[in-house]
Amino acid sequence: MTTVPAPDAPGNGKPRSYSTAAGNPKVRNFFDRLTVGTSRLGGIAVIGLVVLLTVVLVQGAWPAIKTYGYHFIIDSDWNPNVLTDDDGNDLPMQFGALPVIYGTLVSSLVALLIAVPVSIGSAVFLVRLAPRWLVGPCAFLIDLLAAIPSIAYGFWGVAVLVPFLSKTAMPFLKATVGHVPIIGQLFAGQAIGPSMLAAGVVLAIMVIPIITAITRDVLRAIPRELDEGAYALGATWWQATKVILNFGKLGIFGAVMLGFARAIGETMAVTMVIGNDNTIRASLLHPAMTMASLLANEFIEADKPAYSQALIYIALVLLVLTFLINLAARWMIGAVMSPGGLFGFMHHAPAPAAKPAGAEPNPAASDSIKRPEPMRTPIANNNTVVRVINTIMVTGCVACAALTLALLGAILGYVVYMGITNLSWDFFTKLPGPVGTPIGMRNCIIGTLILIGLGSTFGIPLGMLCGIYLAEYSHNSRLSKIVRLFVDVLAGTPSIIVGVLAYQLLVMPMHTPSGLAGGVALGFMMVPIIAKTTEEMLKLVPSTYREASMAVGGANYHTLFKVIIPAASTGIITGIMLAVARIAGETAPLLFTIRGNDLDVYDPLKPFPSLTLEIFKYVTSAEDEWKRQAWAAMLVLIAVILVLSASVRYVTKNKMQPQ
Amino acid sequence: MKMLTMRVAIIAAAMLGSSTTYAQSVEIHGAGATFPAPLYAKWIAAYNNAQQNAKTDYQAIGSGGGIKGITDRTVEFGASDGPMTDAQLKQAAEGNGGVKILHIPTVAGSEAMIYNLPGVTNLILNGPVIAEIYHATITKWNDPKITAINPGVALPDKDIVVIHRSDGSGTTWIFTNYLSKVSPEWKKSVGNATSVKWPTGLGGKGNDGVAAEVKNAEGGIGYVELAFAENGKFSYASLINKAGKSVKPSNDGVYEAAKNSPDMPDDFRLSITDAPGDGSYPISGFTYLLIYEDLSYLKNKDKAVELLKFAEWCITKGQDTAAPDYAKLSPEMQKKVQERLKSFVFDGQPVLK
Repeated sequence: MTTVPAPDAPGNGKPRSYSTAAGNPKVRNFFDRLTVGTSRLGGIAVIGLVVLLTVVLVQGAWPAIKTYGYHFIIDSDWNPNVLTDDDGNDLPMQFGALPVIYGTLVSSLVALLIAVPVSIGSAVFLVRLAPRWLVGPCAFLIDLLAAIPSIAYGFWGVAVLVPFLSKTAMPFLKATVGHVPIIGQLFAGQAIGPSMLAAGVVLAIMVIPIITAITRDVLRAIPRELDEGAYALGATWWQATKVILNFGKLGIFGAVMLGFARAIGETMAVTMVIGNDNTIRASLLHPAMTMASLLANEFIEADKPAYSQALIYIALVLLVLTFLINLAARWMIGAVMSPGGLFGFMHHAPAPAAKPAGAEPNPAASDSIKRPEPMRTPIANNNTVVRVINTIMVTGCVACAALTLALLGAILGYVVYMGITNLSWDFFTKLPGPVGTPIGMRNCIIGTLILIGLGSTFGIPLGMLCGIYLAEYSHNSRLSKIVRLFVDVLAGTPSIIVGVLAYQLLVMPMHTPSGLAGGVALGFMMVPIIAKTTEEMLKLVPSTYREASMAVGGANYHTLFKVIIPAASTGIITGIMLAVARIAGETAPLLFTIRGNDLDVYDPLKPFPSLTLEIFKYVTSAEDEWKRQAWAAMLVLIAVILVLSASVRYVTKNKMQPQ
Repeated sequence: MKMLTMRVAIIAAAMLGSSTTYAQSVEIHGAGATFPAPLYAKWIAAYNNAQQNAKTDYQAIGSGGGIKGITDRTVEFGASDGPMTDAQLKQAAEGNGGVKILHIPTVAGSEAMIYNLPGVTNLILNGPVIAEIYHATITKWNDPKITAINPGVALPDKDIVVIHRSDGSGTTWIFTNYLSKVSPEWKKSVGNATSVKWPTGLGGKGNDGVAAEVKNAEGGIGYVELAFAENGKFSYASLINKAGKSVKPSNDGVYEAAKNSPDMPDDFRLSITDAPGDGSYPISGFTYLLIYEDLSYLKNKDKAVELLKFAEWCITKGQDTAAPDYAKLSPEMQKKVQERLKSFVFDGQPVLK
């Protein structure tokens, strides 16, 4: 999760002086209102974005909603072709979303089945086993796993995982579990590499860092007395851990739900490995399709209006589903972690979510008002079985963390190796072209940089305004609660849906895909990340700074621009860098909005090139030369993202040193 | 903070500013079919080098994308191997003030049935068998219906991995057009379109994606334009045509199919699958550029002129480089298409003289 530095000392020793205009009450009043008003507008704009998203989707899908109603989600026939009956009359097209809803849920459940034990094991290792010197690096590496873009997981999946599954794992599963009654159904039939199982495994790897990070925070937030109490009763390490896990289960469940929400909206990696078969099949070894992969494959290809409308309806269903799951997850995590939540009695420090990663857990308050309920069963039970179980569980947790790190190593190592062996000077200097000529991706590198710039010019100011509003001027009003909710909704919105929005809103009216549409879509993705970090950072600035500023006659806007923002600037920049790292690897929102451009022309109102889009185009190719290009591009992309993420880490670490 | 924002703004502005200095000639953006993509890439590289007035960009996103693009007018020209249906043409015209879309054929090609069966290089298939394979009523390579037409070939007891397109595709249109002709059951339950409801199999994106999946899956079968089969060094099947002869995909097979098909209609929307004649390759088809007859929507007459010049270059000079993987248009057809290019107008005036 986001790491957070402590605020700078304001002014760095230099005296601050307020301009003389501040003396004029009218001017002062005007600027004050302007500052507060603008930041509130930023907050309202976020609500506006979500409303806009919903309105555009509902409007786009309306004919399909009217035609199919709720049958859309229970009907299993997806047929975009107009068939004729025996008399030569056209039959209507059929659009039922059940197979993709099924594919979405099942692939995500498979992912959770794998990811949950590994994540919880890793989190327990980090919080309760790892020596202190190891915690920081491990947490950092797991955060890196979260920074790798979806398309890189997909590429690795296609190149490494799918061949392994089809040649080794699937025949083995068929031969063993395949013969078990009932469960065997899941591992029967044709074993095709790209499959529900492949999607589940890739998704699992992708959600492990998310679930691990949040579980880690939850475990840290649990009062240490509980642990000490358990040990005092003679519990083994595992028995004490069970007590802790049991206590934090709602928060951990929330973490799992958040991972679930992430998995169901995941697009690129899934599209590349799931095999794209729009039918419900019992076997996990068979290709399937998810809502997001259906959109990625067909939205831009839907050559009949009714077909497009049905696809927008899919986007709407996906939006509602992720919204509900995110809401549930955040409620659960909030219940555990926030002041006034389950552990509210022990919170007198900032909420753990805004705590530096790698820091020590809060010491339990000794003057707790309310104690956790006493254990129902005595746990002091020092026989051999218990000790063996303890050893097994310790080993298991270590193994989980080792597995997570090994996966990271395997993926990164493979990408770096393939990238280095395929990188050439041409890659940076030449343009895309026909196979057989010297080709490169110079224009795509430039395109990606400009897209990030465009996204930032839209996303950073809006995100910051919203964050400033929430931290400084919302005073916990009803509006602020709504804004906060909508920031969460935005953060949980699958990026492919943002692509649909930008297509309907910009590409259609402008009659061309464009860098602008892509930039807006990316900016949209940045807003919640920046809003959240800005809010957290500003809240970390002690209120005494504000009071001091006011005391020497500073107006709201003085306080904000000369004291609070400078004090929180490192943290805010960190948030911006995280957001940039996130959008640099985004592919799904660009699929419909920029289309790609092989020319050396960068007009933001024209089709636009991007590294990620070009990678996607080349990855799915049988042409070796193109595959080599894709590996080189992936290395460049990952290098940029990792350098950004690592410098965030570096910056925040320096800021965390005690004065 | 302010500094950073400003820096970002300056860099962005500088980048955008510098871009305009490149744009001296007009740019033309097209998208669609992957079937002719290798040839179009070659053509565009040659054409962009040969003249300075226009730079053309073509994105192979699938024919469905070409049709949607031209209908929504998010492309300046679309490309598809599946001709647009009457309903689609009507829809596009309604959305664009009644302006018609014209089909400009550029080349024809054949679709190879590529397969991945180590040791088997001389497979023979026929229409009904392919239909049954794609219907999942034949699921093993040693099914009696396959062995019956492959005497002497040792076919393994292996699952057939059916591979089709996941995107909207003109290659799919030609393929399903053929299957609808040879299998009434296919016509009734799946039909002929750029996107259909596949009874079985695994979807790959683009001709390329299908080729990649076949390469990965032992026992796999897929349909791709001949260029992709040749480039990827795939084994591909001979097909038994309507005359009962076994033919390999080739340009000759396409010419025969075109020759033995009904006469070319005025709008060039002609299916030449399952054509009679001994040498006809049964899964053949034309690929088209899709352009509105009234080019005023391009807002720039130069652009209209350059777009048509590019199209004209494709059907004249470009034809020389179509072989070996694509079949060039016959001289009569070239003339007819060139004539058709003269019917495009801009602000009521013909664009080409």
